[in-house]
Amino acid sequence: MPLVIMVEKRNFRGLMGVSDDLVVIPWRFYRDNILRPPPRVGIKQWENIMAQLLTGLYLLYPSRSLLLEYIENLYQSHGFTGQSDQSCPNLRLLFEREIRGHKYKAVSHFERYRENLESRVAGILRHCGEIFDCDYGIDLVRMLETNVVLEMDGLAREMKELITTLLLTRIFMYRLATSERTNRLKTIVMIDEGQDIFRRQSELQEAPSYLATLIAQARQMECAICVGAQQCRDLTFSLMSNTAFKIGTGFVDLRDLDEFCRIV
Amino acid sequence: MMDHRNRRDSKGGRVLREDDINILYGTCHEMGLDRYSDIEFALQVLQENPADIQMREVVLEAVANFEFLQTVSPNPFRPFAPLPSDDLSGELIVGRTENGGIYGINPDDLCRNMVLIGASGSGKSVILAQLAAMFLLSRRLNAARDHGGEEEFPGVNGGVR
Repeated sequence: MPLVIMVEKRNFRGLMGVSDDLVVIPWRFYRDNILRPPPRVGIKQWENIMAQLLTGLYLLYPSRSLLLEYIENLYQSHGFTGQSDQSCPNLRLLFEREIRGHKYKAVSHFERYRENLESRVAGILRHCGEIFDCDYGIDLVRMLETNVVLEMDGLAREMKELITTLLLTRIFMYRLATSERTNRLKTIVMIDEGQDIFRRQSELQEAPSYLATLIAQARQMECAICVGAQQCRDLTFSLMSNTAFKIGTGFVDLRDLDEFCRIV
Repeated sequence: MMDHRNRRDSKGGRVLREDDINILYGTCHEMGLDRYSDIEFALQVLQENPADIQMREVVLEAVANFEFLQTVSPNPFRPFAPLPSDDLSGELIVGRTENGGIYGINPDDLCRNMVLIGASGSGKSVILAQLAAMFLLSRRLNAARDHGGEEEFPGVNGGVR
């Protein structure tokens, strides 16, 4: 039963004294090719999920079809068919070849959607381009055989949300593709300082992010998600409504206590 | 020796040995009743004057109604221990109950997810780290058992540095 811990600080390194097979990965050393599907997951399914994930994270729902088209074009031009031993295009290639490579009439909707995509993907690459600028990324199957602490200190909030959502999506899709339901816990994901990732504000702005879908499916995937956060009222409704164990260790103010009492 | 807490009257309420104030006080503390101001006051009066029948009746009535209060009280932070019927025997120990028992969660039940809410410095990260340590230690223990070893469970408090 592997343990994946995603933290903002470095205070979980002490766990290395408890287990010999615990691997601590600071985010600078973490690699993930966002366009490479997890093992046994088809590219058609993965490109849909990625388009949904990226546009949901940045509230760019109108740009989703365009992004999907760009990803499909890139897969085709690169000759990628989803085989694990094939070279796979990455986010930088998507940005340079497809998003920047296309031009539409300056006043068209397409140009506006493309510009939105360009600014957001450029932001991702500027913040943590080295994470996504790779061909294979971290081996998910090996990762799920060991215990991992992923340290995300110093990362921007959107990047933390992106990396967390991406990793959870990979775990879930891999579990869905490979295993049958056994009603036994298979993976435990612990997220400290979860208020940056499960933000209620973003859930209220528009449709729920892809993370909300993942949280709702966690039990079916036999994956436990344990989240620590400072304020109850900052957390998404999807998280609060899909957690059976709610532990309060001290509240910031009466309003937060009131919120906690309402959801318990 | 019969446990005084298990004696019940004809209505099913709890009955205490009326002549032993210390037992009464201890029982109220176990149930968390001493956190209510009126019960606390009654217990203080009884400690000074054990013969005060009125105060003794107040406390005995509260104890007799303990289960009823526990069911109907809408306050989730009521100072009562969980019901005996609650399964608290899980491997993952997240704390202790009011009466000193272990509050443990079964790992398979964690599939229904967990959220820890707390102000800065209230111990969220410590609980998460302790849970992680318990997972890792239980894995190591199971691995040792599978290989015929006899490694002892080192306990949760010594796990995280």
